[in-house]
Amino acid sequence: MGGVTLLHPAGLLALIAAAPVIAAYLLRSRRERVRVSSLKLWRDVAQESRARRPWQPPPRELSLLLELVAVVATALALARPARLSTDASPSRVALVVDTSASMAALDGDTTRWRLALDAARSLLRSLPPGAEVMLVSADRSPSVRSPFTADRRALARSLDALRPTASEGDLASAVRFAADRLRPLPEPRRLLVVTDGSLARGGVPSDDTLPIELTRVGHGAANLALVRLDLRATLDPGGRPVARAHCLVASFDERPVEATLSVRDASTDALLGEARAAVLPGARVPMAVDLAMAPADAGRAVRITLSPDDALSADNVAFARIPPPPSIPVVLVAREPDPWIARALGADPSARLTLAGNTIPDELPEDALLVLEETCPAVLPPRETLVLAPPAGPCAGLTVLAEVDDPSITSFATTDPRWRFLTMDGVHLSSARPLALSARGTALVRAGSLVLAADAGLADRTVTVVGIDPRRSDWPLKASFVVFLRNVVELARAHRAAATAPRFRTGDAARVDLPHGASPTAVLGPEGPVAFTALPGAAVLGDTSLAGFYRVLSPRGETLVPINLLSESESDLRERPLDLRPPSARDASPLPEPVELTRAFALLAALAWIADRLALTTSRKPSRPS
Amino acid sequence: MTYDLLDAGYRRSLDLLRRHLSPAVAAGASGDHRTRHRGSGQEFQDHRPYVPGDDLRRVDWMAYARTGEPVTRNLRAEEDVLLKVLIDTSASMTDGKLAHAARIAAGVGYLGLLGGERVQVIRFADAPDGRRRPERGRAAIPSLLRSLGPLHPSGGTGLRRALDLALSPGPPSVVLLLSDLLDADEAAPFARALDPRRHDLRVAHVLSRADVEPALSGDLDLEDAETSELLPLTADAALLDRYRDRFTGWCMSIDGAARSRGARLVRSVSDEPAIDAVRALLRPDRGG
Repeated sequence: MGGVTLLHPAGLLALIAAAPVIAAYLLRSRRERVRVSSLKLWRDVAQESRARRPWQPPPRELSLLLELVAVVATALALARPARLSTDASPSRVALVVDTSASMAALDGDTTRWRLALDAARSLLRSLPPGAEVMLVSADRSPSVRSPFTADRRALARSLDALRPTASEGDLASAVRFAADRLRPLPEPRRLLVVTDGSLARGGVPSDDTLPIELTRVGHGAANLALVRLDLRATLDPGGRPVARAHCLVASFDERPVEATLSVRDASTDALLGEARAAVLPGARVPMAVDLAMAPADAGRAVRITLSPDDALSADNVAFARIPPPPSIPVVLVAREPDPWIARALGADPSARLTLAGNTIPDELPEDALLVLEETCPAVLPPRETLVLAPPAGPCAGLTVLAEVDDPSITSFATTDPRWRFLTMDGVHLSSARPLALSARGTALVRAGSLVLAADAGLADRTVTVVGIDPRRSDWPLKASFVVFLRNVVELARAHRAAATAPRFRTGDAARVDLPHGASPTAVLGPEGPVAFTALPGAAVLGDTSLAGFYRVLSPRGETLVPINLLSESESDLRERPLDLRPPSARDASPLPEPVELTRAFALLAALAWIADRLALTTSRKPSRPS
Repeated sequence: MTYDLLDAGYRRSLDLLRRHLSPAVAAGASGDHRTRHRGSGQEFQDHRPYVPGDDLRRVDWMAYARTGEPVTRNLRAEEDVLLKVLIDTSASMTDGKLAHAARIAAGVGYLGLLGGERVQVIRFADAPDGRRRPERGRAAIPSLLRSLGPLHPSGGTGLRRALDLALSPGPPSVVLLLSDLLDADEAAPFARALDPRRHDLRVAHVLSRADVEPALSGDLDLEDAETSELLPLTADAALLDRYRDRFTGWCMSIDGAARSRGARLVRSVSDEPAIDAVRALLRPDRGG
């Protein structure tokens, strides 16, 4: 059924004017009281007077009534009452509001988000009073912000609590989500969508059984965006380590823009490096900024800013951590280091080899690669580890078996990064110690049914156990031996670099591995605590909708995780046609506009005022008897 | 204060006016007043044809000799007249009406006492106060005046009960009613049939200038002096015209009722001389 709604409820504040009207009525001077001998004659005269007059002067109560009617009608007129048509009265409505990053874009003097909120509120007001509404936000994934309810205040609160995120939007997913919840419900039902049309992923799906009523807000806007970011450690031509920020800047503008990329320390805001480039319309321009780095700079938080600032701020900033230096410390622990091993490791320019003797040093660098030769302690330190020719017995969760003679390598893991670019063909072994795998071990090199090398890696590090003794084979004489060792070093470097790489994007369910298997205790996002799921040695962040640094706290310290928008499609704010299927006749019907009753109430107010004035001016003209 | 009702000027006017009441009743006791009724007194009044059964002692033989027709002499009875003064002291007797009524009553009573009649003052509001005994003679003048003043208007108008008391069976009397007659039933004084041989009812209809020509204007709450009831109205010229019409009609209805009962009614406004009302009340009947 139809209903009446108020398009501007604040107009009801005018009802305050009723208070002075009533006060004036109460304070108005009383009638003069005159004592007469008897009302006997007066009563008859008064009755006769009323009966004779074709128009009776109204009592003061009528004047008060007229004035109150005028005040109420004026307030209602200001509140813009509107009648809803009977046809537009579904009982269940899903309202999907786009909360992707592009909704925060400026639009003239306002923002797309402000326009979207106004549109959503207007839609809510236009619904009949009994309609149950579900509010769904659409960013990287849909989220029910308010279940089906007819409580308009609760809906308004939920709507007010919504904010545009800094993540890519997936409006199609949200619309499907809402449609799935609407479809089992009885008719009538409506699916309302409020979006800016800057969709990062596909269009808005349509459904003949559940037409979508789309409200598009905002206008196309030019934008310059940071769409890719990578920080890598390298050496400059002088051999000095530098951190190089590789950025891709995309232009969604019709004019060339002089872009400036600044890298600043996130804590002190100190400028660390800067680059400028002219970005042509529609171009994607790679920009790089070199940052001089010391070993202590590894892991330092930096903020990369693109200027000039424009319609969307969220894609003009990115967050990263400075990677570790290009060289990795390698600690070789052996009673008598095999010279081939030491030579191969020493020849690698990215490895800084340290010979540590027969025992593992107490102060082992945090990012060191530990190479153990002919030894395998019961407890391995939490480092990237390579164990060569371990003695028989338990080792890193595996069991090293008794030595076997003349094993013949039959296969190796060609896809494993440690065996990239090499072959084990032609490697002859005089003896080797096969490995008995446990549940977590993975065979890397086999000799028939024997496992000669295996991965015994843990969640936070790689442990490679090789049962081949270089001294009892010709493998060190092969190039594959050197390549293998360099692959192991490179893998350790890659793992080390991955810890600081900006690999998460807003909206991702980010899994953050913590050092040394620590368990997370809290996660602090850019705007406060963030829900997370604690796993052994890792935390899965529940809400990463905002770009910035997320701090995962654990008993072992703090892990800083940069999360960025970096979405080319989300940053494209230009006017784009919506990928919406041709609407059916029902779709094509515009959103029913409520019929405003403002004029009627304004007229009523005017009539009430006029009637009151007439009553007051024509009824109170006393004349003295002659 | 008491004698203000009869100041020197008023008394002089009364003395000039002094005359006998002419009661139309036959009193049981002989007094200075003569009734209009024929009786056994010694003063000749008129003749009438003889009818069998008449006292032969009353046959006027001389007239019979002259005319040849037997006629009987009617003699005026000399009777003792009781003057009952009923004065309305209800709350409606405001605006000087009560004082004016008291002054009229004092004048009539003064003349009555000087004329040898017995005078009894009965004040009434909701109920009549009949405790005062009739008094006679010049010496009763101070008592008369004390019973008439000072009076304060209060209470309702129990006109019917007062008349019941005044017109109750008893010796023939002249009943002088002084009231504004603003009782709910203005015909109350004349509701009962009077026995003209026993009661002579005279009414002083006392009004105030405000009753006659109210000077009201604007939005008013009129308050009934007796009931405190409020009547909101807007007084304008048209309404006052209608009031005057209604007032005139009311007075005419009272006049008609008085005439139909053979009562004399004199209307007096409180700002008019009381002597005029006294004179009108005591004026002899033209037909009498």
